[in-house]
Amino acid sequence: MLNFIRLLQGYVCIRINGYSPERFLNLCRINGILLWDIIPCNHDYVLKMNRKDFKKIKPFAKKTGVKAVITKKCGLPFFMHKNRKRKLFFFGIPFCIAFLYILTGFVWSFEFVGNSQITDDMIRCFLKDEQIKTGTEIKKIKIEELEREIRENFDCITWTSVKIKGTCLVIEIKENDLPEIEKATGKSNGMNITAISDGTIVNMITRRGIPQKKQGETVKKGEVLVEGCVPIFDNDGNIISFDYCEADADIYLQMYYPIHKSISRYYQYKNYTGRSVKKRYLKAGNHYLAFNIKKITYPKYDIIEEEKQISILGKLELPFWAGKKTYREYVEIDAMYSDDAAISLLKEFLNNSIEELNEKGVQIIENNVKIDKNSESIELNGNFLIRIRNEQKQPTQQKELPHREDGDS
Amino acid sequence: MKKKNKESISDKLKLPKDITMGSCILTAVGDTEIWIENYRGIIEYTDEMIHIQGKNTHIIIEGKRLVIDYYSNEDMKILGCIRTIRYQ
Repeated sequence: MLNFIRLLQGYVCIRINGYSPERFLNLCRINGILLWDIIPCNHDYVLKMNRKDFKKIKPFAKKTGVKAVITKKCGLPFFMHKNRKRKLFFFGIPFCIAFLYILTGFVWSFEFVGNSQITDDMIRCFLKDEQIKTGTEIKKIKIEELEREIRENFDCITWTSVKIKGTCLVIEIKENDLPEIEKATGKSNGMNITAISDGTIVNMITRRGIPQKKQGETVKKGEVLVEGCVPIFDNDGNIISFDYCEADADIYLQMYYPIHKSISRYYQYKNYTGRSVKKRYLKAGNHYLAFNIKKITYPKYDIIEEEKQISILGKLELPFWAGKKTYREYVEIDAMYSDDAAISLLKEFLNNSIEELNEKGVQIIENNVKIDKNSESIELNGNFLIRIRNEQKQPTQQKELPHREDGDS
Repeated sequence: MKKKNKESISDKLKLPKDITMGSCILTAVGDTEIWIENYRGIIEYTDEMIHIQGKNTHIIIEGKRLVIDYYSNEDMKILGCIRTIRYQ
């Protein structure tokens, strides 16, 4: 503590030599000057004294015939004097700390955990409606109210937790896995199964609803295959009401899937020259500060941009983004596909199409594809005979009860 | 005579002798530290010997690597490897 106070006040290390150094020490003592760390060094003495006291020792030195030379200056006053032309730097330190402290009072990023049905964008839109966005003051956010609003606004959320970690608003949600219970609205809730395309029904197992077609029949696109409207009859066989339900059936359609691809023989490709320019920048809101203002002289180039939000220790995110843009020069070169190259591209496209269909669970029965060549382009034309599960559903139209004549009782 | 009277009065009245007699007060901590009060000044100082003047006596402290930690009007502190404390 004493050392710290001495540093704050400033002290000097001096070396004294002369006729009567002991008398010099005594004179300093008598006049209230504190000396410390007095070490004899050959015929000299090295000691330390306060900065202000050094100004008073001149008459004592003269009286005792002693020469006092400063060997070292320590402490804040000397440091300030040495850096007197750097005042802004030192004012900048507390300003920076205050600035950071103020910025930590705002929300600069959002994190959403546990959402799958509800996308991040949906939650962001909801927060925007609640006046919560990047730059909102943390103390203005009422966490319990926000949690309640989220649960009320999204039906499928069963539990939610909102917390603030540094400058990041973290929203954790738990979604409801159970299927939604249909509400009785008074309107028809029935769903029909309709044909997705022209084709032939190769397999049909109905579990719910009234089948309108049979196995082996051809159907047109949009035709109703299973109706979701079940009539209820009375004892006389008259329809007294309709029961609407969601039709459920396993229906497999066999149909032709057209495929077409055309590749022009002449094309251009980018030949990268290897030259590139990197520009780094800082972004705050819509304002940019570029560090390299060199103009891009390339006639044609690609821009690759990387941007990252600046954060302290990975938790405290600030409203600044650091980015880098790389400009890669290229030259467009005209080229021509050879027959083999074009055909291999078309085959690759064909294989990708087959893979996509397989991933969707579509069975390919036949592959009727041919490649046509001409001077300008090479084309792939044809179709697949596929077997696909028909799952298309459309709402059932409400039916009116047939008019009954009052008969004999 | 005067001095002996003073001393006997101090003894009888149990008064502190550093005030009545102007005696030096030495406080030694092991053989590495000495704290001295009520002195008049330094007569001689080397790294092996410090000669201090009190009101009525001289104190010679001998040792090795003797350093004055601080030296003020009220007290001083000597550090080092102290071998002898003599009164002259």
